[in-house]
Amino acid sequence: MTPTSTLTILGQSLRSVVRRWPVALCLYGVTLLLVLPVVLALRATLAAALMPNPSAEQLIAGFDYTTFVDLMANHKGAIDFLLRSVGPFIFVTIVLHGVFGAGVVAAMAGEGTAAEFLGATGRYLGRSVRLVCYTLLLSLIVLLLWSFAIAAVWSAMTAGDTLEPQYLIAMILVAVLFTLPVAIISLATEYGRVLIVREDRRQVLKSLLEGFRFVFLHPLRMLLQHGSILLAMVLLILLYWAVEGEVGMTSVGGVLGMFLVQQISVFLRIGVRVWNTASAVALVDAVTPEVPELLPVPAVVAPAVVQPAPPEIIQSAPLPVEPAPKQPVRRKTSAPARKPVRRPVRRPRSK
Amino acid sequence: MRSRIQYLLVGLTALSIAVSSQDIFPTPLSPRNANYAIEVTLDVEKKTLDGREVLEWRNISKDRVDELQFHLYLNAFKNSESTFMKESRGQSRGVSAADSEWGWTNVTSMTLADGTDLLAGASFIQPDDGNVKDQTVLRVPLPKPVRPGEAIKVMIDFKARLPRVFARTGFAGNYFLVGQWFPKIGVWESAGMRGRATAGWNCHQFHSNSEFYADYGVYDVQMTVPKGFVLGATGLLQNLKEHANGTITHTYRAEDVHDFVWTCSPDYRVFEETWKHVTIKLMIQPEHVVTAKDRYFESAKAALAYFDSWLGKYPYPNLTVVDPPIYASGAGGMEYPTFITGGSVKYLPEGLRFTEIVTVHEFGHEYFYGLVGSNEFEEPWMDEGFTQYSETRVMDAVYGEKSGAVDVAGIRIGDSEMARDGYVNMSNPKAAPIDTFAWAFPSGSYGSITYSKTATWMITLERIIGRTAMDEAMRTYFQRWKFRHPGRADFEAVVNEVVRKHHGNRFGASMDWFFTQMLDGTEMCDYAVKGVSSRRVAPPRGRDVDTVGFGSRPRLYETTVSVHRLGEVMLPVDILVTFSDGYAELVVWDGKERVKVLTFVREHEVVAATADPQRKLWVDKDFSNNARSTEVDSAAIWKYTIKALYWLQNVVQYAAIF
Ligand SMILES: [Zn+2]
Repeated sequence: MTPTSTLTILGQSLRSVVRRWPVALCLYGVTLLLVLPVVLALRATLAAALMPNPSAEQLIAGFDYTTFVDLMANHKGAIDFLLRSVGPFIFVTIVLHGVFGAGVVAAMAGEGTAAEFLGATGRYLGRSVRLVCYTLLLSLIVLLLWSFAIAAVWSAMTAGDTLEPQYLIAMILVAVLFTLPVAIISLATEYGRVLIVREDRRQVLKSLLEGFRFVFLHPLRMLLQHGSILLAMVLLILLYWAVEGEVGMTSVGGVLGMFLVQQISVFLRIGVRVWNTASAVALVDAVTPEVPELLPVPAVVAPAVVQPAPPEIIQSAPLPVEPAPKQPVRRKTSAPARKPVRRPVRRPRSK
Repeated sequence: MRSRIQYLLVGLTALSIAVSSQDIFPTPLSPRNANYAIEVTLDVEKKTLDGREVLEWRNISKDRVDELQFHLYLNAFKNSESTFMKESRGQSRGVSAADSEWGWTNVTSMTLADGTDLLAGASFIQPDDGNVKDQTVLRVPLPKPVRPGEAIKVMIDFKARLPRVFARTGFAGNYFLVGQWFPKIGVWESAGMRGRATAGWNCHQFHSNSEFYADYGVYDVQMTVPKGFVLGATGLLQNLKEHANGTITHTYRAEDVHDFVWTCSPDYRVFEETWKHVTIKLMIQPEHVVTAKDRYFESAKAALAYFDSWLGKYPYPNLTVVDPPIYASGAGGMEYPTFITGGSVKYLPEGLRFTEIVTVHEFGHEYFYGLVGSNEFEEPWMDEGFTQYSETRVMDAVYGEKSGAVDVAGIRIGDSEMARDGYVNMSNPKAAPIDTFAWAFPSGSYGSITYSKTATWMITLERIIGRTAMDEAMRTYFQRWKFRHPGRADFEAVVNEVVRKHHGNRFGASMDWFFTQMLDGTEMCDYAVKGVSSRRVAPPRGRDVDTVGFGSRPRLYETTVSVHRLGEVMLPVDILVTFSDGYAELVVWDGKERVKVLTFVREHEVVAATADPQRKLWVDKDFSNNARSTEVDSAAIWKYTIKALYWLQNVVQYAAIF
């Protein structure tokens, strides 16, 4: 359990995500399909409201506060409709993410074809939905109780003649205090999901609790591994801002260019999100105890190279990291099996 | 009851100060009919003031005055039943009054110079709302009237407690802003003054929205505070005297001002810079020195320079700029003669010009409230609104027309844009006319109407009559009315005079049509271009029409442009119509009809029509309907569609946390 092994897991899972790019593409497609109707409706509303209006066209050249507030204030319908859609979108997203999460886990353990991803998504649908429900319920309870604690911390820290540095510290602390339970629940859900799919578990709640156990057992790993991925996400966002600052949306070319940059940025960030799941799968693989001997070993031995080996093995005896991506035998085993993503053979964990 | 010997001592001290202290102005700038000599001691633990005041009031009217009226401002904070507290519900500018931190003034003695007790017959009055629990105005009958030209000397003892600062005055920890703290005489107004029908005292209760109205005079004030407290005040420091008990007395003198404020705190850092004849003294919190010191000085100098060349000289030799700590933010953004309080927050990005805006705004009050003594109780727009307009002038001139208020991360907002937005997009822009007493505004509408709407119509006026005429009007108004008490009619008269001089009868016999709509009306202005089209002129048909040579003539188009007046306000509107050959025609419409249809017959088709292309009518509530074009360019629509797409994709992505 060294940073090196975290690095290895990150590297392996990143390669795994890149190799299974259809998964990220599927997710990108799903989010696009989700928002596209609203956006196209918005376009139609905007066009109907503003089309013959030169002042709207002025906005193409850059931000003009007066034009902007007037358009906003006098075309509330168009804007409200967008803002009103945010709440439902967040809910639908959480559910969809939970539903597709199982597919992602399965695809990361398998070959990562779109069919595999969608198939597993369907297969685990019931359990995924239950997991989302438990998570949402738990988050609600925890955040409700936690918010009292946060409020108490805030008022204690800002009581009396408080100056700005103290306010800043209090703000940061409150942000951290708020983020912490959300991050833990988020990770526990991720690991719970990995356990459900990986071992085809039926007991969702128990798996979620084991997810928590897993997170609490490996706090340092959580911090290093998922923290690094979060950092990558932040870097991608900063990169986008830098590009946006350079290109700008002040000409037709700029708008088109930024459209492409935005979509690439969204796709890459979805990739990073998949990477997060992939790294969780890899971590569970790396630290899960040996499988009981009596588990029947299928005739096919291919998985030894299909799955990324635990870092310890790679370190001790270098194996080909890149598995042969398309092994017909593998397909044969995965196709008819009830639990195709379940790993037929567990490699011994080196101590 | 204090003995007469003691009064004599105060009187003598005052006299000795008056004699010993150096005059600021060799000849008085103002009538100086309300002069104060005050000794006050601050107990920093109990937050109390112990004061002795000698008021010399001179009757400069032609009326016999048989009573005096005093403001006891601090009684606004006495309990939850005061008019101020009822109106503000203990809230002002987002800061709350703490329950155990009430403030009050208790006049313990009031006599004439001959020892005649005035307090026995004194009573609290409530001229504005009849709230008998309000004790912010004290009526003092006199044994004999003060005749025109006569002066009266009143000796007053008072004990006061400062409230925890949440509105303009008070303490927070070791920080003290001592404003509106001494028994202060109201203004005697003769009939005809500011349009009033009968003579009488103008001494209103302290309301949560109202601030000041007072006569000019000389203040000699001795403030005793513990050693180690850094003190600043209206006027100039005359001397310092240390006492054996660990206190120190600061003596200040201010001339030709109508109020006196002071502040002290052990935490202040003091810096001084000069601008021409003015010494700017910055009293700043240590945590703000690095980030805000230069911002204060630069904006104060910018304001001094702008007002100096715009309206006329700032006569005082000094300006004190006070930076309160964040925990006393209720003390920020206040104006007193030669003394303003600003506002800054550590970590405030440079592009958020909060510190600059507050400094410039409060400095603006040195002109519109300080030098021009309008009545803020009754005509708050004449000081807050004029100051807001001045603020937009300075901020947009110094920091950019489109970035005078904000310039952060691609968001650029001009200060005049902010003022207009504050008015046209307030929750109910028709809540009250501007010409409303400060306390009579419906809840929440005072600021937007008094400040923002006034600034917005003043910008509109400036753009209608031209900046040259506007500036001359403002300068004339300032020069004519400094150290006096003008009212609405006095300002209008100046504008009418200047407009006539510059434009003759172009805008009618007077600008009343404008002022009535802006000051008395609550209606909105909104002009919209609804239709823009061209069609080919067809050859004439039927009997007895001349079609000879029609085919050989150039093709002609008839263009129709319709401009609608959607609001009730009527203002002259420019209409710009552009054609496909690049030709543009500007039509001036008086803006009165509901719909104005313009027709043109030209060889080229129309491209676009814009009502008020230069945005002269800054009060127009919606500029987005002011133009129409025939060519549809959907790039902007796509731009915002794409932005919305990306934004929603982000929402969806970041929401995927579980
Ligand atoms: Zn103001």
